[in-house]
Amino acid sequence: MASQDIKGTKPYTLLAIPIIIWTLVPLLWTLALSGKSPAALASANENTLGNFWPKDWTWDNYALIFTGGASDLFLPALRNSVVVCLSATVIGVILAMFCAYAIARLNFPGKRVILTTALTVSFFPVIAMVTPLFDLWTKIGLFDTIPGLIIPYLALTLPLSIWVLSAFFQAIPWEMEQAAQVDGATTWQAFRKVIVPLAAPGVFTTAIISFFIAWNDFVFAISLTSDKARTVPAALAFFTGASQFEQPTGGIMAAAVVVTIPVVILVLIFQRRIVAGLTSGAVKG
Amino acid sequence: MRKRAKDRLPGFLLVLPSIILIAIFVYWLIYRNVATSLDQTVTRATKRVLNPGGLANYSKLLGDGEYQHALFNLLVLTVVFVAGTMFFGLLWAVLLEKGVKGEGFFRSVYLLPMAISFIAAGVVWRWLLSPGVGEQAVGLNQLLAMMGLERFQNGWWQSPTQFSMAAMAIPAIWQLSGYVMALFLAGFRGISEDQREAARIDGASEWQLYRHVLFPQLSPIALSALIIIGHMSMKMFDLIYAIAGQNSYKASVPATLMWTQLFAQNNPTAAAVNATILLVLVAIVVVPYLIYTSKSEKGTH
Repeated sequence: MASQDIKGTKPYTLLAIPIIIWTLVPLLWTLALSGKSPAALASANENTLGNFWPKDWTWDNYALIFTGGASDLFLPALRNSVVVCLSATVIGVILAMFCAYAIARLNFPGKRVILTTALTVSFFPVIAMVTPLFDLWTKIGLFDTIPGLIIPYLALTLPLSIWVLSAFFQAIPWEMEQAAQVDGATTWQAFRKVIVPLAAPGVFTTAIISFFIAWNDFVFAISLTSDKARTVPAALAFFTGASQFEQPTGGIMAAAVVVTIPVVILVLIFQRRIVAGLTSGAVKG
Repeated sequence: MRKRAKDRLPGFLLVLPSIILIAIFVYWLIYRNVATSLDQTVTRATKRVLNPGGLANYSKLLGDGEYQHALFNLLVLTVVFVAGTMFFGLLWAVLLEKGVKGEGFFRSVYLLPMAISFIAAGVVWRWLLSPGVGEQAVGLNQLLAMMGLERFQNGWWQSPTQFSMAAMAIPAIWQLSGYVMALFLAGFRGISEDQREAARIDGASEWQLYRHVLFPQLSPIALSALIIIGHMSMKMFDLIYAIAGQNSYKASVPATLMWTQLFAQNNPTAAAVNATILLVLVAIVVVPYLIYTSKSEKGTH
């Protein structure tokens, strides 16, 4: 960038800092509340803006959800979330890879229709599918089961995965595969040594995006499960204390921190790729 | 002819699983939803007609005060949410585009809220948007007091005004401004440096450069952002559920009302009517846009 002269840089950096604060404060606040004792949570002057960090950090809230009274709600939910989201992501990305490969490489009529249909579907409100799906699942016994969540998550993530992956695959110089074969590589070698490294970033990005969507989903999680297959976002909504009137705020915050950490790490590491994937549909010169 | 059909076969086989899955679990479910919305139902005990059946179900819901209230809330939410994310998204993109030191760090942090679930974020925003004022002020109200702006303290989404849903847009703006920023930033990066140089040589001020050279080229991206945020707003459910709790009348929008109809009022037909109208509303916004983008793409290839 030509505008990167040192004189011009400083005021903009100063302006960018308040935005960092606005972005981070709600996150830090969640973290702070997760480390407070019930007494500190109830105290008026330990929850003010200038004074919100816990004076005596306690791990009690984490103990509550991992080994304590709330663990039989939280741990199964965490396991369900991991199983459901990983399965949906792996199956979805494999199917999307088939589809995107066919769209990028093979010639057949209706390619454009498939892509447009996929994009249209990703705009549909999922809540419009809840009523009939709830009905169907209760009838055939898939309500509150792991497959009963994996299937809707596939329907939720597949259209976007196809769209993002097609954008990536169409940018791959596929001629290189033939070039490698001319140079004496076998078909398999050409595929493994040339195409796989080129396609891997796109596949990986698609996997991260669809994992996010499934991991954060609440609509299906809350309507299609009751207790056996409940995932973490749905469990968060069901957290209550020992009695009806005691809201375990600290425990809820600790659970929110635990489910947010993997997402935050993924974003910080793969920010560039995620942006490339998410903007591929919307930004075209 | 036979050979051509044989060439096409692998392509079809590769796309087939995805097509079957989407056909059943998206389109067939939507069809079931529309079919359910036309049912005639009576209450089990008293045999009173709950839904008259056919299109009368639609006029019944559209005439319902509770639904109109939800629809109005959705309008307020959408206007503020879209305006807010577009404003902040563009502002941040311009800031980063001007060459902030450590841009990668700022960009990651700005994007963070987007990756966090509405449910996890809702837990802390419920607290930040607490309605207490004066001595009881916490969260944003307390922040206002610290800045000497006590008179702006309010009940946020619980304020006794019709426009209280505007406050619900604050956490939504917090979550998605970073995404809109990423879209605009990608757009700025797509504009060649030559154009800026040319405008500067012609004596354009920085403001004129943005106003007449850069912003006009971003309008396709602005449209994309508008559509993406607009349809997200129409689908908004998690955040409202997390902040206002289930079945809140004050903060109801069609999506949350649908939940109430389905699970609290046990009226799947009304829920299906509601969902179908929502689907049509989203389609009115999205379909012309998709046709427009697919046409302009054909033109460039």
